[in-house]
Amino acid sequence: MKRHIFKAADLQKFTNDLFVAAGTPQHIADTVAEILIKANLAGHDSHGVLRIPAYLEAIENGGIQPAAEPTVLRETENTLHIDGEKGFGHHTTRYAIRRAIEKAKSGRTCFATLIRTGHIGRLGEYGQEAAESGCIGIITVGGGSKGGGRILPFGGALGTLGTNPISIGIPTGDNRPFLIDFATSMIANGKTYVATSENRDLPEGCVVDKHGNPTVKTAEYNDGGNLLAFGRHKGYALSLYVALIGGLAGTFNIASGQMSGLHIQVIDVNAFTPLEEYQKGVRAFLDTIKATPPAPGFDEVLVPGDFEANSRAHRLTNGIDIPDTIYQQLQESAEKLDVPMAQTQ
Amino acid sequence: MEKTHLLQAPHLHAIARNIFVAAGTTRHIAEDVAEILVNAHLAGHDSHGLLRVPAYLRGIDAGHLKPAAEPKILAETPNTLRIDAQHGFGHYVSRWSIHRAIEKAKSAVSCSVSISNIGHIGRLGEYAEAAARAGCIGLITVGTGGKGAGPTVPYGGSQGTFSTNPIALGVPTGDDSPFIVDYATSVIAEGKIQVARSKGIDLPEGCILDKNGQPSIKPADFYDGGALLAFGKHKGYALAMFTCLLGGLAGTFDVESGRMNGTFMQAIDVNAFTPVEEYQKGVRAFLDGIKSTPPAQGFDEVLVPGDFESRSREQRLKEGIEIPDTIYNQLQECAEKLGISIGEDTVKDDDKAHYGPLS
Repeated sequence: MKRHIFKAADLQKFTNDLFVAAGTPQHIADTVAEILIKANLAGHDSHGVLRIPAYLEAIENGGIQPAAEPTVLRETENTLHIDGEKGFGHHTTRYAIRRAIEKAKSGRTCFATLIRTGHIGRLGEYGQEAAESGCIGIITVGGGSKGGGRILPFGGALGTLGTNPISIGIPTGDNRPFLIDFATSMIANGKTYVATSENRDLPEGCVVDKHGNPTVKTAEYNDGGNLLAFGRHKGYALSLYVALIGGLAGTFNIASGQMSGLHIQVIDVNAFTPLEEYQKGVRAFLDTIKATPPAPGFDEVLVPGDFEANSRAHRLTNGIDIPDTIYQQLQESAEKLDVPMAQTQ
Repeated sequence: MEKTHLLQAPHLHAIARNIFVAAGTTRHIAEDVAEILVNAHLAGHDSHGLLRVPAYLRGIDAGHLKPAAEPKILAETPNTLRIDAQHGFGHYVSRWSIHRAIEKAKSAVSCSVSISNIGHIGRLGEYAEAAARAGCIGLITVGTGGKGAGPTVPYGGSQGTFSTNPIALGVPTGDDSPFIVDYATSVIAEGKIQVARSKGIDLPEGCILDKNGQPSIKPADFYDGGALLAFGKHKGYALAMFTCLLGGLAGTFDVESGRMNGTFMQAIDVNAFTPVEEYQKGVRAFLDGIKSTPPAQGFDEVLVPGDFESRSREQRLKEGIEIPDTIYNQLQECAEKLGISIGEDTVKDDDKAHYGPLS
C-alpha cells in the first residue's frame, strides 16, 4: 500500500492549521495538534491524525464546541470536578491533569472527575505528563450498559462495555517514564480503524462476528461483531472497574443501568518517599526486568513505555508514515477548509 | 478424589485461633487472623485459608513472623499513612490499616497507605470488601519484583522476576454482594497450584512453564524450577510491575539490586464525589444490567466480580467447608505439637458470632 511520510513538525503545523480554519482558537488548536502528533510519534497511529476527519465532522455537527473552555464545577484540596463544556477533550484533559498535578504537590493526592469532554485522544499523554512531573498518574475512561458497547462481558453474547482504557504513568527521572496505556479490550477501537484503513486482518483471539464466532476479518467485525476483553475474566473485571470509578463523576443512570466517566488520580511521590531516590529505584527495577533473558521467539524483554519511547525516537528521525487512505481523507479536509496540504518528506 | 472433612466456619475459626494462641500469638491478633482465613474459605478461596497455617507456624518458629507485633505508624498526614508492620501477622496489620484508611478517607476524600515489614496478608479481597462495605472504593496491591524475585516471568522473558503480585478492588453496592476484584496478576495464584498439588489434580493449560520453559499442566513441574505466566500477556505483566511500583512508595526498593516491593492500600470515600446512596444504586443497576446479558455458548450466565465470593459464602455458611485430608492432618499435627485439641468442643459461642447471617 502507498504510504506518505511526513516530518512531525510539518504534520503538526498542518493539523493546527486545519483546526484553526475550522474555528478552533489558536491555543486549543496548538494543544490538540501537539497531542495528536505525539500519539503518532509514540507509535499509536490509532490516536493520531487518523482522527482529524471525525473531529472536523464533530465540529460541523456541533458535537465538539471548538472554542469551549473547561469549567471547574467543584474543587477541594484533593478533588476537582470539571465540565469540559463539550470542547476538545484533549484540551480539557490537559487542563485537568495539570491542575491535578499542582494540587497533588500540596495535597499529596488529587482526583479529578470530568464530564462532557468528548474524545480525549491517547490516554498515555496524560499519564506521561504526571510521570514527568514526579507523580504517579492514573487515568481511566469508559463505561457500559446492557447492549451499550462493543465489548462482551466475560461469558456474555451481547456487547456491553466500551474499550475502557487505562493509563498509568510512573516517574523515572529520565525521558522514558514507566507508562501503561492500554484498552481493557483485547485491542483498542482505533486499532480496528487502522486495520480497516490498511486492509489488514486483526490478530487472532480479539474479535467475534455477529454470531459470536471468532474471526480476524475487519469486515465481519464491522458488521455487528464484538470485541473481547483482554485476559478473560481478569480484563473484564478491570473494564467494569473503569466504568464504576468513572461513575464517581455522577455520570450514571439508575433506570437504564448505564455508568461511565473519566477519572484521574495523581499521587505525588514526594509525599511518600523522596522522589529522587524513588526514581533511581524505579529505573534500576525496570532495567533489571529488561535484563531478563528473552524467551524463545522474543528478541528482548521490554517494559511499559519502551515501545512509545523507541517509536518516538525513530519517528522524530525518520518521519511519520501515513497510509494512503488517511492521506486522502486529510487532503479532502484540507481542500474543504482551504488549508495547504502538508508536504511529505 | 481425596477424602475430605466437612467443618463449620466457627469450628475452623476455633482451630486456627487456638493454634495461633498456643504458638504465642496475642489473642486479639489470633482472632483477626483466624477470621480472615475462614473468610477466605467462605469466599471459596481455599488457597488463602487454613492451608497456610503450617507455613505461618514455621514463620513464627523461624522468627520472621512476630506473632505479638503491633503495627507502628511511621508517618501520618490527613490522607496518608506509612506503616511499619514490624514483621507481625500481615492479616492483622492489613485489617488495622484499611480500617484507619477508611476512617481517614471519610474526612480527607481518600487515604493512601504504604506498609513495610509485612508478612503474608492472606486474601486481599478481605480488605477491599471492608472498604466497599464502608462506602469506599478500596484498592490493595502487593508486589514483589526484581531479578529472581519470584516465579512469574515478564512478558517475553524466560526467568521469573515477579511474585504473583495480586490486586484487589472493592466498590460499594450497598448490599451483601459488593463489587470485588481480587486476583493474582499471574494467570493463577500460587495458592491455586498448592491446592491442585494437595488434591492431586492438573492445572488448566497456559498457566505454567516447566524448568525448560516449556508449557506444562503438572503442579510438580512448577515446584521443580518452573515458572508462572502473567495473565493477559503484556497487559497483565504491566499490572504486575505496577504493583511493585506502588509498593515501592513505602521506600521499599533497592537501587543496587534493582528490587522493588511493597504493600499499598487506598480507600476513596465515594461521598466526597457523589452521594453514596445514589451511587450504590447506580452501581447495582449497572452490575445487574451486565449480568442480564445473554450468555455465550458454553456459559450458563454472566457473572460480575464478587458474585462468586458472595454465593460461595452463602452456601458454605449453610453447608460447611470441605477440608482435604492432607490439610486436616497437617492441622492436627500442628495442634498436637502445641498440645491442643482441634475437636468441635473447642468452639466457643463467641466464635459463632463471627459467622452469623450477613448483615
